[in-house]
Amino acid sequence: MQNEQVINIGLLQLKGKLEPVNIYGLVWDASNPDLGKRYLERQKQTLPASETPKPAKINISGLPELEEKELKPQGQPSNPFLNRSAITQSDYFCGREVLIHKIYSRLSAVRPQSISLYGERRIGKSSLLNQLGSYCLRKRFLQDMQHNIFINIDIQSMRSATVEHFIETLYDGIKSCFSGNLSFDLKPTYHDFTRLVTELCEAGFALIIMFDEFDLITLNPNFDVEFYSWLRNLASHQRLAFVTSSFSQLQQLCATKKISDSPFFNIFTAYYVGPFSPEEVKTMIDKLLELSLTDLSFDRWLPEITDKAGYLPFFIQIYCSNLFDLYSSQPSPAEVEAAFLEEAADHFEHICRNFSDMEQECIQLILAKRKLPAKLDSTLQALLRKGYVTQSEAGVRLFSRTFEGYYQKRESSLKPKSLWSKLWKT
Amino acid sequence: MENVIIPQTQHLNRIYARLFAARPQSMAIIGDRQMGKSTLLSQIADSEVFRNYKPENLNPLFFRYNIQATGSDWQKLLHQVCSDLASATGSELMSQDYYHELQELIKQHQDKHNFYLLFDDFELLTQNPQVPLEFYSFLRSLANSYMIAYITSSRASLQTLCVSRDICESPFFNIFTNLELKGFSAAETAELAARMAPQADAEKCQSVCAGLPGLTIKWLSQSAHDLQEFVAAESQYLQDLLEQFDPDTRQVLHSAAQGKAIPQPHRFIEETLRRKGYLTPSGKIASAALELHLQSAEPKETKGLFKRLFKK
Repeated sequence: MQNEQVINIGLLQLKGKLEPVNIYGLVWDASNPDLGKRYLERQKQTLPASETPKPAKINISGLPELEEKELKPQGQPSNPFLNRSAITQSDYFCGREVLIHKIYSRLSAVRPQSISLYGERRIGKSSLLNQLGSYCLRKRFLQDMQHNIFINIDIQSMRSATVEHFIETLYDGIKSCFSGNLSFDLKPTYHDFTRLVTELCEAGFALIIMFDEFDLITLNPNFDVEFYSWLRNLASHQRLAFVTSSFSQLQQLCATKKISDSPFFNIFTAYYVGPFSPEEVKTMIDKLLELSLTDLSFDRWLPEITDKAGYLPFFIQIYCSNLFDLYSSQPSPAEVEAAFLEEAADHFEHICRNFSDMEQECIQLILAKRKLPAKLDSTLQALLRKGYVTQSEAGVRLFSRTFEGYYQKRESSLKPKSLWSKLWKT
Repeated sequence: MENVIIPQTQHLNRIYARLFAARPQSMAIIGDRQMGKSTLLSQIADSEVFRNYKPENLNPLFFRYNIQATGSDWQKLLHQVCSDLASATGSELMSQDYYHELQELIKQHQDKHNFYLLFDDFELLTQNPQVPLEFYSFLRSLANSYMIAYITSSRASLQTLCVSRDICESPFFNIFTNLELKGFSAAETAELAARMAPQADAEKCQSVCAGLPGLTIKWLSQSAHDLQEFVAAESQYLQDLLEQFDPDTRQVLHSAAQGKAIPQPHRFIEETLRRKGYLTPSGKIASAALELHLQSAEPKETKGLFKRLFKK
């Protein structure tokens, strides 16, 4: 085999591949050197020189100096509890310290590790994801923040996207991080994107790619097993990690079993995003009140806030925003609760609609103050974890008295009509 | 009602506090028919009104769409929004991928402007099965990433007015703060009466109309102020007002007008009607005009004994 030769036969478009693939031949017949020449002649015929792909040029001249952006309110006092969409400003983000430490211990490793965040809707996953790439966290946790690129992709905006669209979005994300200090002319293909990542890593950069609502990709049939293999390959061979957010563990949210069996999902460490701790609730309220440019304190209201809104940050914000609006009129707790309910009712309805039968059973027993059977133990644990039920020395209860009232009224209105009720319609 | 100046200062304070916050927040204005939703939307987008509320350095751009007029074709609407934004910012649309174009326009100009899209009768979109889930996901994604907010008006909460469970479950609806429009307070009625009909008795107007905006304006617009004549003249309007409710709600209103007790399963409805201002805290019909109309009109949906017992 001394005279063996490797020759390029030509480009072939293979099923399942986005771009033509180079086919190579191994000439092993050492006694017939003309065989290789014949293959080379054939290659010249099928692949004219002008069509031979030229390596695209990538110019990297470093990340622009990162700056802290502040959106602190100025001038008049204003309600700081108004955020209902994902929080983008670091000043308005509070809590999750333990989780952030865990996440950054993985992201700041020599080879950054991938993370999957999952949790209930409205728990603050998107806000946490936005915060991970913030200036202040990078400065706190990364030794060389100028060489860490954070790209945040919101999958919601590309619900029925294709792989090409996905890669183009990644290119845009990377380009916007460099603000003009990076130029390339690459095709939206697995191969070209891998080349870009390789060059960036060789230039000393690490990439953290964050995907909000990643489950929308796992449920999208345009993304096949090959796509996940490619992502895994990137994370395994480059200084690149993914941080995803989804409402459930990723593997449970796949379009097909073939995808859920992909080893891609093994690269993730999963973290659950749950309700706030009592300390986090107080810190959040105090920190946000500081931003209101007032000298208000809700300390006196704290027991009322957690009694009516529980430890779920979204509901705490709703309660506090109404308390803030009404504060000057010295409202009673009942007045604030009425305003809170008006805004929270739709979200309560959504929670109620999504309880499983077992969860409904569990809640009804809790409300009736009856002992829960052993078969509901895991359901109770799940409800505690989601923050819809809280536990104290006094026992278990629903997370919010206001929600409790809403739930009971809803149940009674959904009960089948009694004979009397039917007769009543005169 | 578009041309009538209605005192809605407390709503405007609340709305602009959210729209002009460090990060603009979306609002859903909810109210029954003739509650003044469209009037409020037009006030929000009026530069004469918002200049009193906006921070000095803010340059808001408002775009208002009446879904009833523009139709619930979401693609046309998206195209229209893109064209309007391009024209307002002096830009050109580069392609027909309107999702991409809208995102680019906002991305390019968000340093100079905050964008506000106002949609009147938004439920016509959420009830249209042709509007894909991705449309709502896209709107939420824009609001999460850029300086844009939406203000919608609808007759009930958007999540209760969706064509499918998928749409209803969309996290798009999480970004809204609901503002429910109710009847005018006595003070607001007095203020309106002073502007519209200084000779009118504002107290009587409040007891006849219970602050229901459309009805109040009708009362103040007429010269003679006799309840019987007013109810006779506006019976069709009052009937239309009732027709917007579901049969159970109409039944509760009829029972309240006849002084009958409301059974337990309908207490939920009674409470809602009280909150909206149709019933007094003691459970009576708040508007004398509506009460008189209800007493004279038979409930249409009365079924026979057999039907009532055996049909759902």
